Amino acid sequence: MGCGKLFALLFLCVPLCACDAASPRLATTTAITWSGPAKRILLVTPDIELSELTAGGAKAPRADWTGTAIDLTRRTIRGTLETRGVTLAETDTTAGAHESQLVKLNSAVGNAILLHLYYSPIKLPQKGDALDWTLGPGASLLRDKYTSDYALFVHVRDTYSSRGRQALMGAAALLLVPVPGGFQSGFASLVDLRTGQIVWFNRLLSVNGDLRSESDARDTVGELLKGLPL
Amino acid sequence: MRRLLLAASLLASSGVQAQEPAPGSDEAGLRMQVARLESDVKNSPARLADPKLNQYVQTVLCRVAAADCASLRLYILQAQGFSIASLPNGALILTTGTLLRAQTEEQVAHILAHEVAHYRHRDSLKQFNRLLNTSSAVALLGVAAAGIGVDFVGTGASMAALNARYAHSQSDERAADASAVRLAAAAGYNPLEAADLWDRIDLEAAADGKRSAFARVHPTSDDRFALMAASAHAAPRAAPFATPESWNDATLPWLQGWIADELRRSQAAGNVALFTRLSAAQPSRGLYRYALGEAYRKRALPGDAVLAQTAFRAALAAADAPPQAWRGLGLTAMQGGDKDTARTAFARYRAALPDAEDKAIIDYYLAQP
Repeated sequence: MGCGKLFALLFLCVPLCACDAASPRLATTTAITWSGPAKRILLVTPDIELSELTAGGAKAPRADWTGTAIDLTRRTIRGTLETRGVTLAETDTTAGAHESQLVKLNSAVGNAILLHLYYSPIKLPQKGDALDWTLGPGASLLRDKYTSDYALFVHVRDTYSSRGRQALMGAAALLLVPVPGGFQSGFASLVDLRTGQIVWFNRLLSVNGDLRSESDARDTVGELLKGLPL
Repeated sequence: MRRLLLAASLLASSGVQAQEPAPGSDEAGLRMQVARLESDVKNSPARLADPKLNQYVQTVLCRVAAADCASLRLYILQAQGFSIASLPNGALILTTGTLLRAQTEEQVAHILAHEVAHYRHRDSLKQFNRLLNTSSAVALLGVAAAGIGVDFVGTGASMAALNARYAHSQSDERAADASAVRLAAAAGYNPLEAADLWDRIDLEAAADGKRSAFARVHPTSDDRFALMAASAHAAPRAAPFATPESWNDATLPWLQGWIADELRRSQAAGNVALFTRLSAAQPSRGLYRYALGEAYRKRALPGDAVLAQTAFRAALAAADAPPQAWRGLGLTAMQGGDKDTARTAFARYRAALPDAEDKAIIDYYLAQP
């Protein structure tokens, strides 16, 4: 672990400690069922962005890393699921307004789950520890279009410290000022397209992960899909 | 060789990137983000769906943008306030609040020309690079100050960073002004309209006791007027072709909705300035008078109730008065103790809109002795 990652870990320690340790969540009310003999799920184009953290803390998005990460994530997920006998459909690039609104809705709901299910100080009293969230019946649009029973959504934001940032973190450490470095945060969710119900959810939070090379991406995707009931 | 140089400089100034940026460069990252933003705008539920009005604004855009028209994509979002932005990839986004403030095709042309000029000068790209540099500097200062134990979250520094983030520089604005006048004039629009338009938009922001993001960095109206007047005389000008009727007719079906959006803003003083200006420009339009009445009613300074009543009465004298003007008149009359006027006005409102959302409260007022 480099100096940068160590400081990122220190910075993350406080929020992490308030979080529940068990990451993958399963909706207990919903069993995985298939409407036909083929297990077919839709992989929605992963919503991933990789940035470089400049010395001052601004995130400079990197198109090349992002492109690589999306590509590696898709391939790794496809490989993982195919070994489990699942056929994968993928969203096409010309997503319409309704489809892109569903992706946005999933991000919003996912962030709410992160906040209220994983962060114990603001747990919702009525929901408790249950994974009880839905995208609503509008999700059936994806079911009809891609003839899939479930959709897998992936959302990752990943930052990497630039050389300037690493130097700053080192200098700031001498003054005992914590300066965070790059880290990965995100989540994956499995949505039943017949009802819109989120049946499985997993959080990703890591200072070690990397989505820029094939072997590291395999680890990150492994973390992301941990406990996937497929 | 000279021809080659000319071609190169044309490419550089047209905003169309001559070549793919290097992978991993800031520009490539910016392109990615901008493409995402554009896709969000494109799929936004707030997009104005009407093909006719989109087509109209697109036509005006193409007139002023000329050769750049093919690389520009217009998006109109239903939102209050004056706001227009061009992204470095050629997406040009403006709000319906902007269209409400432009009273003629000529003014729409000037607003669009200003943005086309920013696009040509690649100002958004400069803005992005400035963001990277400035916020880095602010964070560095913060670390330095925390190191010596001083609380350094200074408003000044934050404001400077914000300004750098959201605004073009004054020199970029001046350059855009000068180009915009030439573009609009070349398309046949009266260049002198421009200075006047920006002046009124500044006045509206000033009425709210603040300078808009627009006014903060844009040259003062006096400077602007001098510059634009000079450019106007120098600019080659095609024959004018816009008629006031065409813009009026195109926007009329939307006006009531846009006015309602604007009245929902908390800036009542700015709304008074806005609708005073719009009513003065088109005195026969009851909708503007009604909006002015509502703006006064919401501002609620001493004397505003009387001004509001006058505006509502003027609205009701016009052919296109919305029934809500009766409600406004009733409410302000009731406030002033004029029970008879209030009762008559409320009754007219209830008759005109039997299913109005607020019918219960109006009926309650009517039942009062």
